[in-house]
Amino acid sequence: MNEQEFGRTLAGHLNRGLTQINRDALDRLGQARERALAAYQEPVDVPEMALSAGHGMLSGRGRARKGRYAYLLPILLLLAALTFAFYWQSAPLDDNIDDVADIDARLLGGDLPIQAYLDTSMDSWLENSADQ
Amino acid sequence: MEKLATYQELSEFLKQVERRAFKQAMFAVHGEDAALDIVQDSMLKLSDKYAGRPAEELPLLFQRILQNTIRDYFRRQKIRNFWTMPLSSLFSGGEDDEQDPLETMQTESGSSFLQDPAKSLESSQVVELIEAALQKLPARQREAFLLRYWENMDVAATAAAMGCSEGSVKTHCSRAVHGLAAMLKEKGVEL
Repeated sequence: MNEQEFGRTLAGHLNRGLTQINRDALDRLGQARERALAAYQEPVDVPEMALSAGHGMLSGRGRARKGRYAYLLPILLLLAALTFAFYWQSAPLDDNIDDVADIDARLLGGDLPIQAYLDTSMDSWLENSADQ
Repeated sequence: MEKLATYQELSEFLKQVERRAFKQAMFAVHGEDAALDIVQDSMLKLSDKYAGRPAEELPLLFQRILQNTIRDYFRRQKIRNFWTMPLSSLFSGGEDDEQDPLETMQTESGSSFLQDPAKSLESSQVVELIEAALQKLPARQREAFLLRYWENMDVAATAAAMGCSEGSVKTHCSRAVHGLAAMLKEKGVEL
């Protein structure tokens, strides 16, 4: 008889031994199982949990399991706040960038050559022209 | 997405595994009350912490929890003994209270099962001898043997439940089988 066969044969005898457990122990095992099952909580989806937690709907059997995920709510709120702050900070910056880009486009796309804006004599000529 | 264990599946699983778990704990701690406590703790932990896992993961999770709970029991015992042993040794007569269950078991040399093993396989005495032999095995060997052959776990699952390598599981199982065979042969039981 090899190791596997020996193991299975012994397992068969051990299974037979399960019928010899005394009634008191069996009753106590049943009670232990009931207690364990009383602690069972239906698994819930995180979004559902977050919503129900926000509306104070935690109750009964779902309390412990939902409470386990309750730490996600502040994290989600923090992420939302960070996203909003980032958007709020970056929105005016985007406007400025757009404005600068618009000015550059107009300068480059205008009839006047770009060197004209760098030429100081051009400024003095314009001033003189305005005076006249 | 994985299908999570329902209340009904968990209930069925616990019902199916509770007797074997109780026996496993009994083999380890040799006491009915302690064994029942261990099984109850293990069931509670599984239900409370891991019920949200797929049903097919429950056997491995439960075995892992059960083995850890047994180990915790021995850790607590060790700490308790650390404080109580010096005191009790002052008052004890020094006798060795350790008893070998195989030695104390009635084997009745003239009984039918020793002479005719084929008939005696049904006998509860054989079961008792096997259980006594299992109690004598080193803890890790017994653990590996029971997970592999009683709980029908493969080597990888057994290794995961025991928190050791697959090689260690094979070694423990092999030694357990040889140890059990020797002890049972010594008692006149041929399987």
